[in-house]
Amino acid sequence: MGQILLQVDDLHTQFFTSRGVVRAVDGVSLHIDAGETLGIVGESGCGKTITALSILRLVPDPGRITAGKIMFRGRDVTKFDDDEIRDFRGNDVAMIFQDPMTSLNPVTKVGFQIEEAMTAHNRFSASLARTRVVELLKRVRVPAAESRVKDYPHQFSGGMRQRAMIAMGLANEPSLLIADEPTTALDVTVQAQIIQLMKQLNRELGTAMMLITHNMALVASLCQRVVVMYAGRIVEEGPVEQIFKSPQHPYTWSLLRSVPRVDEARKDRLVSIHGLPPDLTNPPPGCKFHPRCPFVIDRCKIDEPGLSEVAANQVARCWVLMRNVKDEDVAAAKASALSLDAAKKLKAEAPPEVGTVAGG
Amino acid sequence: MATAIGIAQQVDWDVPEQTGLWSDAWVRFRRNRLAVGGLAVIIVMIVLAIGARLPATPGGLWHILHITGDPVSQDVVNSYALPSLQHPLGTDILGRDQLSRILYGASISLTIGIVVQILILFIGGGIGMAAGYFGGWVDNLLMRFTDIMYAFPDLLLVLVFVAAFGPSFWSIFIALGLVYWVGLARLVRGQVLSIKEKEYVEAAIMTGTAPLKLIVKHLVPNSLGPVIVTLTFGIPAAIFTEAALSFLGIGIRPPEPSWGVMIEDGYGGIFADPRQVIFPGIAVALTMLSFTFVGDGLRDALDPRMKR
Amino acid sequence: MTNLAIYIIRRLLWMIPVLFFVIVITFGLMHLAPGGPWDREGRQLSPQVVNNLNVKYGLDKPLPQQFLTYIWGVVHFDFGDSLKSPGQHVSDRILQSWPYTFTLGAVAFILLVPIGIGLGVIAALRQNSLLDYTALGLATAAASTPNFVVGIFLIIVFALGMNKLTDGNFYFPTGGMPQPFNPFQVELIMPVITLAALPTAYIARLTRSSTLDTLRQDFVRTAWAKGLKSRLVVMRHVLKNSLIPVVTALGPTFAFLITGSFITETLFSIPGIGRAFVTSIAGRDYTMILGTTILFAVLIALVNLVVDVLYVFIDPRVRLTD
Repeated sequence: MGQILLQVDDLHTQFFTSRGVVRAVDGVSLHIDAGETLGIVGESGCGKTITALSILRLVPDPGRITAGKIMFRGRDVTKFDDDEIRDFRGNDVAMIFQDPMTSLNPVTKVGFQIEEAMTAHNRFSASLARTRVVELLKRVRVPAAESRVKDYPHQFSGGMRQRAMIAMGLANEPSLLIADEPTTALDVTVQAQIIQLMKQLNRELGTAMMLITHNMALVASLCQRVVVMYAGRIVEEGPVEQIFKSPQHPYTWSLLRSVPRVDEARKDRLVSIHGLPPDLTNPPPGCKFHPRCPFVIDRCKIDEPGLSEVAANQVARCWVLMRNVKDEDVAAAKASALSLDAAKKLKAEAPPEVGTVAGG
Repeated sequence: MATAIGIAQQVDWDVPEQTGLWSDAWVRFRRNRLAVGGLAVIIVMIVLAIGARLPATPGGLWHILHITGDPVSQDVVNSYALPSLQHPLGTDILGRDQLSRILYGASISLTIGIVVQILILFIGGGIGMAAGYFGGWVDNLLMRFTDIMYAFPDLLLVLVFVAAFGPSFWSIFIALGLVYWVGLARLVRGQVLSIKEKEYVEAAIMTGTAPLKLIVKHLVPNSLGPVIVTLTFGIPAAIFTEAALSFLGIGIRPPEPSWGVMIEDGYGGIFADPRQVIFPGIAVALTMLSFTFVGDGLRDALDPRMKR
Repeated sequence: MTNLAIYIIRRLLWMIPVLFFVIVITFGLMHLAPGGPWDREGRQLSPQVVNNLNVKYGLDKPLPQQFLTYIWGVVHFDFGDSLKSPGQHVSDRILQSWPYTFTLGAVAFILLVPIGIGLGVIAALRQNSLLDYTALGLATAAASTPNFVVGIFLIIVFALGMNKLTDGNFYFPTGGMPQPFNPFQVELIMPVITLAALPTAYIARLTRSSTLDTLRQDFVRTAWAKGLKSRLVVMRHVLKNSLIPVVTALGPTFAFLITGSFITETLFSIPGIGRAFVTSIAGRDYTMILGTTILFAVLIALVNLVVDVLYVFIDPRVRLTD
């Protein structure tokens, strides 16, 4: 609908480790419109966080963007010099991180940390920045904002810290706010409040948001469009309602079926997908998901499918597509996922002589 | 935060199969070249030190290595001899063979450094166990005492102890044991406390089972690694302290050739022949460095969380 | 602020039992052990003379009485007469030696803290560079080379070696410390390096690992994500956190300087307290040993108190508890 704000084009981000090259982001292309809310979902380690960090060029060592373009308002972020990237960060695009407990500097006052986000750029004068800190904290519903600006992070609760992080992110009125698992570290009632807040801010300020999460329910409540990532690649993309109604990639289907259990949400454990995402130094041939896919056919093991349009505005990377899977196969997949779970539980409870196999 | 290695490791659906902790540790230790080098130096030094204490039979291995087994025999005509085949590191002011003196000194340093750790294990382990096990006022008292000991420089305390016992090998030995137990006591106490907090131990205590056996059973496998690391780092500290005491003239007395004694001797004649201090000085530094490398290696190997 | 005052007073009061305990241990050790201050190598003093000396210094009284007399003296800041320097008060001897040790220690401290921190920070910011490896290697070597070996090697290279190379025209002198109050004399160079090498290495290693830890923290990434200049990220966010543990290291550093002074002053013939302590240990000068030990105990307790109070000011998370 709106104009394109950010366009990521064939992005490759790789980590050069002693174990080999980890292709954390492997040819990702996506875009986000002004004022839009985009969800990026997938299990941990599928490249969503690294994609976000690549946009801000904050990929940690030994990682590097090796190819691709990141176009923001017609300029390529990957070509920015030191001053340009510095001015881009926190000003055009701001980011909120997963753990509000560790994302604030423990020895500096909260108010100052927000103020600093403004004084780093030239949008607000120093005196205006100081008064804006209180305004921002009020806007994110921090009670008694006037006195809390002088508090240190350890005097804030987890939810309050995340509000402060959001205030920091909004400080320069960025056109895009990236939120990386903004609620994972918080308890459930606080999660709901934070999501409510973000929704409201998006409506009131028109800030585009990119929400990174493994939680499909969160995407449903906040986003207009969703990108599903697996093993560093996009496997499906489309409007949220449509994806929820008719997911075409088996991975999306599995994610939607798996309800993260509240007690294990922090470990990113998805109960019903069996196995692990592939080792990204040595991904499987063909479709990266095929070793875990319940609907795998021979072709999946050799050829990797491309992203193809499966419906209006919806693309998927799959040879099979869920609409072609027979009903009884779907039922069987559900049953087998369940029985695998049951088997695993039995194994864990079995006496050690039987259960453990001596490893190398 | 997704670091490079974290990408693959963060997602462990299955609890990883428990491979042998010790074989794992050995693999990690072997990868540390400095630690392996240090261990090699230490082993060679132990073998030579034992050799220095064995009687030299003519034509035997020790004889060939010019280890006379008698580092005190003097040959005054031959004082300050330059290194030769006869005396690979030369002789000192009294014509005594430097190499055999250094190797004899190694036997003193290594014995003190290594054997004293057993004494430390008993004292520190005992105090730590008692504090953690009994808790309450016992713990309070012992820990206050430990805090006071901890605040004092080791060398100062050892000096006071040695002043009381008089300068000899055994008084240094006991003084080291009485001073260096503090770190270990804190470590063991912490371990005992954390084991006591475990539910199954709490349950056992509530049902009236003697918990001491249970605690010891869990204490040993849990704290063996850190204890070994602490004791290993204790070795260079003890070696340093012995050498420093002897250098200050308050430790082992001449003619017993401890490294500290040799350095003190050589320092007196440093303008005549600096080699007299250079060789024993290198010996102390090399030994301490080797043990430090081994300690570093063990720490990294036994504590997988510390991976760098 | 009142909180802080109460805390400081409590800590100062806590020093009293600690000192009492230190005196008990030292006193007990001195007197229970065989041998005494009148033992000589070679010709022994006659029993009559020994007896007279014991009577003169009160060593013939029962131990508890001696102890109470001593404590009574300490309460009045009277530490008795030195047994080995007849007619000299322990406090006088300490006052004579104090300037040497203070000048040496202060120069070493003022140099070693910034150098140690600087090396550590630079090494961490340039992790895995040649500079990092050099600094780390030097620090590791310095941390496991005994200070007397460091001192002797310095003498060999800069006194003996340079003397020989320059035909006696240029070298570092080793003879003592002619001016006790002058921190700028050439004679101090080698003693200061000897004394400071180990604690510098210790602080550098600690700073490096603490800074590396901090650089990996989430809040540093937050700071970059704000678009801060790298200078501000390092100063405000990295160093402000990574130097907190280094403050804790000041206590051990001070202890290093005390024990280091035993060795350094003996090595370079500096008539300071460290050397006086070593001589009195060797000579079993009970009163001197007790007096200097009490002095060291007070100094260490005060330094630890200062460090703990400093902590409150630099780390807002720290609350004053006991």
